[in-house]
Amino acid sequence: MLIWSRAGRAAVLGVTALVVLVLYAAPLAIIVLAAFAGQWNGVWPSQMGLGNFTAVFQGAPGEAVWASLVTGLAASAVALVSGTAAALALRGGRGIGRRALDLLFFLPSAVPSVSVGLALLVAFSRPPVLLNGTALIVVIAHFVIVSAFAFGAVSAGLMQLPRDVEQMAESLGASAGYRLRRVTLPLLLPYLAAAFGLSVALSMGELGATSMLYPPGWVTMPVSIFALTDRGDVFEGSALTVILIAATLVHLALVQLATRGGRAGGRRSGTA
Amino acid sequence: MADATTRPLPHPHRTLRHTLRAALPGSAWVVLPLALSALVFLYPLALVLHEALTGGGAGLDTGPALRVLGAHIFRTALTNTLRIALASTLGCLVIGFALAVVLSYVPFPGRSLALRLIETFIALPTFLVTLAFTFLYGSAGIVNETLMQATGAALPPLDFLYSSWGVILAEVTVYTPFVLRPLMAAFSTLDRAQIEVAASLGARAPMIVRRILLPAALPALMAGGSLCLLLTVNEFGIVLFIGAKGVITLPLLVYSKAIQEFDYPTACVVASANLVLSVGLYALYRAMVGRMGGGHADLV
Amino acid sequence: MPAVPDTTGEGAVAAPPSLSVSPSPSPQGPEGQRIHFEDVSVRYGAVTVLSDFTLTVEPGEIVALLGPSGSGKTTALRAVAGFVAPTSGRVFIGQRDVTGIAPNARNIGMVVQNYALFPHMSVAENVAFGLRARRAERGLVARRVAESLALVGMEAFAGRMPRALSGGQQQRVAIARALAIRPSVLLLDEPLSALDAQIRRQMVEEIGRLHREIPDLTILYVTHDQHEALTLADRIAIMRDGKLAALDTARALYRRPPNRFSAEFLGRANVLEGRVSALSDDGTMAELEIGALRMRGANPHGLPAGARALIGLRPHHLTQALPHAGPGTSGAADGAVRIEGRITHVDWQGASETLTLALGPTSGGTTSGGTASGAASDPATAEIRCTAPPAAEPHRIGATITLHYDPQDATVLPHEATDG
Repeated sequence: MLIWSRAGRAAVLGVTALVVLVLYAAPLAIIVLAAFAGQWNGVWPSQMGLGNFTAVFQGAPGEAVWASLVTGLAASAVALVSGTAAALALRGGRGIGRRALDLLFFLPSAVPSVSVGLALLVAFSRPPVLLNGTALIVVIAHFVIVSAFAFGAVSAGLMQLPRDVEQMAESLGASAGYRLRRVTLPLLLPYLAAAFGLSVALSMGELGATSMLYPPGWVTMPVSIFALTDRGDVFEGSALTVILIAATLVHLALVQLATRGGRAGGRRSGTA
Repeated sequence: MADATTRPLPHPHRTLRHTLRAALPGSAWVVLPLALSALVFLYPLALVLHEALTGGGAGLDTGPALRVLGAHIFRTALTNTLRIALASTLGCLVIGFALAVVLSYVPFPGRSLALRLIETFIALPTFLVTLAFTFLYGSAGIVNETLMQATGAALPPLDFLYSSWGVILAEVTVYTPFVLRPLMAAFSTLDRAQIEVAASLGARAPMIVRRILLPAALPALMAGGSLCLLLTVNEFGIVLFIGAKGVITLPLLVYSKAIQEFDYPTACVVASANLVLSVGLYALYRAMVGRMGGGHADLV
Repeated sequence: MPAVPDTTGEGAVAAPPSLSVSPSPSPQGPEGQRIHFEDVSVRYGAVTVLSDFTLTVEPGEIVALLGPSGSGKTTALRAVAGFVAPTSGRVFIGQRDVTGIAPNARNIGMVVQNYALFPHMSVAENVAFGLRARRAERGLVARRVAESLALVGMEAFAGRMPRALSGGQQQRVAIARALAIRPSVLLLDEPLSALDAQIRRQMVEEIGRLHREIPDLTILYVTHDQHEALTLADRIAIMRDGKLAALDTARALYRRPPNRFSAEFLGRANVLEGRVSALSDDGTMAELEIGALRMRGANPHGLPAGARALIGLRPHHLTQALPHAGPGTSGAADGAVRIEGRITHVDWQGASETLTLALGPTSGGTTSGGTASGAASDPATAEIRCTAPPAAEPHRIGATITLHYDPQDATVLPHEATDG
């Protein structure tokens, strides 16, 4: 629809294809290409092989994969629990207090990640709590950054839940805890899973705060990629980037699969 | 009822546990997230603001802060940040709107694949695009090599990557999906019959886009645009990876002051200024989302 | 979603008082429980949704709350369920004041329009939910689930997920789920509105059968569909603008609606406006003067001569043939009222047809023989609808026909200052 003429449609689609290819397909393809390249002197790379990947896994950057995964999973798990608790508490509430808390839990998403890093650096390099130089401070930074996102996703999920289904549970005699356990959380599960999946993805790509905080023994993938490319190891950097992309996508797919495998389809039963 | 012989069921809420649970209001859940937020977010942020306002000293002393804010490097970083953010946002809005219109109303094979490809970038790190651009448009990149071989030029003819333009192009790529998403949602709720009726009344595509699609998309454009503005002001990875000497933005200035120069007081002042700007933009975003009728303002 | 007070908060806090009442075995044996509204008002800010509502549903009775949307009927039902807190007034179930009691402590069965089945639980798990919430022992749960599903004819679907069921089947499961907990009362909130016409008729019969099988179950049935109300309800409460407009048995309300709104809402009666011009000796019958037209009807309100009044008459009580016309009678049957009208519209519905007639200046009642008195008077603008089996020959628009009705079928109603 919209464009009925054959020529007009061809022109529009041609331009669209060009934009999508240049902006999105080409960058992804080129990174993958570079990840397998040994040399790139002419237009196209040469000496293709797995050398960059073996180099990554044999050297320090390999540890970055582990650091990123642990950081992402830990920070996202805490963010999910805290975000769910916050979203449940603020649900259906009204008034200035609720609005203020809502704003507070969203605020980390407004703060530049570098500033989050700086703030944690300033706060925990002095007594009473000394965390500077630990892996924990990196996890904390990632928690702060993904917390707003987890809270937002769970809140949005809660708003999608059919209210009458929960009311029905209540009228059938379910206590608040029973209803939460048997009805609200199961219905929320797809949203929780999606929130968790994207939180981990967000955390795995985090660079700003991590750059400010990371201790020598806890270098995440993005920091490692920057270090590699900064000193000219662009192909190894690309290989690690491909690993990062793959890890992110595999993780997202796994989360999606896990939810779909479960019986919880957060779909409303009514046909109306 | 069917069998009156069965004993009546115990009434719910009978046990003490149930009583306690019932008496505990649901809002008690807020204690954990609130405590976490206070400890690892509010307290550190307050320290940064405190540091900025006292200049590292004991009492209130805005002298150092004002000196930083008056310095040439801060001014440059601020103008750079705003210029790049505005240009990127404008680019995102234009490309995002065009893509949304085509993806929603001009069916073609591979449409869903294209949409998925673009949306994948929401989950991927921002610097990825910069890295790819150096291979594509860098001085020794594919495009320049091809052009040099074709024209025999001695110098790379395409030289925009290591400037604000490189940053803007990368940010447009990375943040267009954030505009595309609310736009697609807005178009999906628009009644397609409106377009058909308009066409049957003689309207051509440009008029339909201008008179029907644009007004329908306006709230989503405002929301997506203000989100873009916020994210591009805060963007760090892209600028860091481009590593152009002349392109310093506020987040990069915070980083270089703190990490490369160990000048924490200055970093705190710059971070505070950046924070004020970001929170202002966030307020704008919330207002736009509120106007869009959406309940929650979740980023991403 | 309407502004529903957060019941998880205040309702739950208010629950403890009920605990002193409930430990005695919940009274739900053979004897049903009554539902009693006592001056219940519900206000949201300046908006009054329910106003001084008083109604008692007797044990084992089905009362239909009938009214247009926005009349407060669903609010009344939700006040019984506990999802709406009355601004003032009290709600009783049996002898127990449940006004401040949390919904989950009321022991109520509730069925709503869109079924609200738990989408992540099987049919059996849905039905078992209320029992498990009460920590009923396993054997009892299994027995009750089987019983309840059998009651609605859904035994074969116990393992299915709700999304694999049709709307009608989902609603049966919803009913089974409500009945499994042996509720003291059953609340049905537009239970059939989401179903298509044929399934709806079938389900009306089902619910009727269900009530015959569980005759002690007290049912409050909210609907905007007069057919459902007339078929199922022992008594009908007609609601309008948050107030109770009429309450009586279905037959009485239909035969003698107490006011204009009831007459028009239940059975779409013709209502004409005039003045009482004459009364029968005992005052039980009255004649209305409507312009040049004279119409007689029962006068249950005992309106005096000269009073402004309305007369309500069902379309199907108007016939072209003479009512009570015995074989030997050639003229008007004794007492039948004769009116003339010009056909302005014919609406054919298959088994019947509805004629719309303009009551022209030539028309008259029994007292005025049909003299052509000129000039447009009130009845020139008045219209009347008449439903009858379709005529062999199609009616011609513009034709003048004569209609008759038995004055006992018409009801003289008090005039209302404000018209809806």
